[in-house]
Amino acid sequence: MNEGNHSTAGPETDPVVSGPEYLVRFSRATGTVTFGGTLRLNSYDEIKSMVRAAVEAIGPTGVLTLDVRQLKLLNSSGINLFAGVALSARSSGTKLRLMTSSEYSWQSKMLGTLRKLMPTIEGA
Amino acid sequence: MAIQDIRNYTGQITQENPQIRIRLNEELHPRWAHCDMISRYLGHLTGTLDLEKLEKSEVAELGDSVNYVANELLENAIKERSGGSIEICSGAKGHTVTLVVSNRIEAAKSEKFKASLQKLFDGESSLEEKFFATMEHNEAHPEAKVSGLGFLTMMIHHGADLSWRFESGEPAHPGRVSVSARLTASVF
Repeated sequence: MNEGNHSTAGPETDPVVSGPEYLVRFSRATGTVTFGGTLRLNSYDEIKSMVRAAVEAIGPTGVLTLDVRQLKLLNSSGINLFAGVALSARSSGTKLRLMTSSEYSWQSKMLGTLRKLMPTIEGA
Repeated sequence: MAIQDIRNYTGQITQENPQIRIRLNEELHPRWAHCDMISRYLGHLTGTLDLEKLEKSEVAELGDSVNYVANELLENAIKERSGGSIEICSGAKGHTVTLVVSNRIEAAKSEKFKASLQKLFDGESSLEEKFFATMEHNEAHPEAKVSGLGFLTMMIHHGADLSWRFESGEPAHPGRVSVSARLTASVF
């Protein structure tokens, strides 16, 4: 479902990447990237760029929150996206917090995986 | 046609007598969006298969695994197929659901596929070690177009027992690959 993707960014607006089935938004005010819908994409390049920029914006002393509570489904390329974010944050020193929902069993599995890559990741 | 099995082909592929069989014919132009639609459908249908009695939560978790694994297998089929139909079958026995996805594949792609499977199971490192090494490798090589995590996540996150069957073809008629995934409910 790569049809209709678009991203918006500007000095006044928070960066957003969205498609027919998903929406990803970075709130600069709260330091949170929120994921919603279903992410089963063939390419995550746009989302990856946005989240990497969020890691940079938060910097080595801050905490970036990844809120996946409204994310229903994710494919293996999406898991690779989150693994890359964890590894990038580990390198830069940025702390990560992953907000999950018990409604979706895959989310706790992914948190366990990310903790092996970055033991300091905080679950919520 | 020669049949080559890799690793733990169990002979329990249910293509011959599935409870559900869905075929995406060439005329449909099988594409990425179909993977999510069909795998969600199969996930929802898990509770209606001929499974031995399970708690509602166990069926739900098994359905989530069916949904995830079916989507991964179908995405692979979309990427690897050489025309023709894609077929997905599902059946259940005991506390186990078996999914089988098959598609046509050219000889060159088939050989590449077999080599990637050999790499997955060769060597002394565990699947878990390979799982994390693959993630580290992907981070170091962002230009890579595939994550290589599909089969690993199926096995590590969902306990899938996977097997593969390759049927060789001829230059004018690509062979066929079938991938089987057996998913067993976590019974507490």
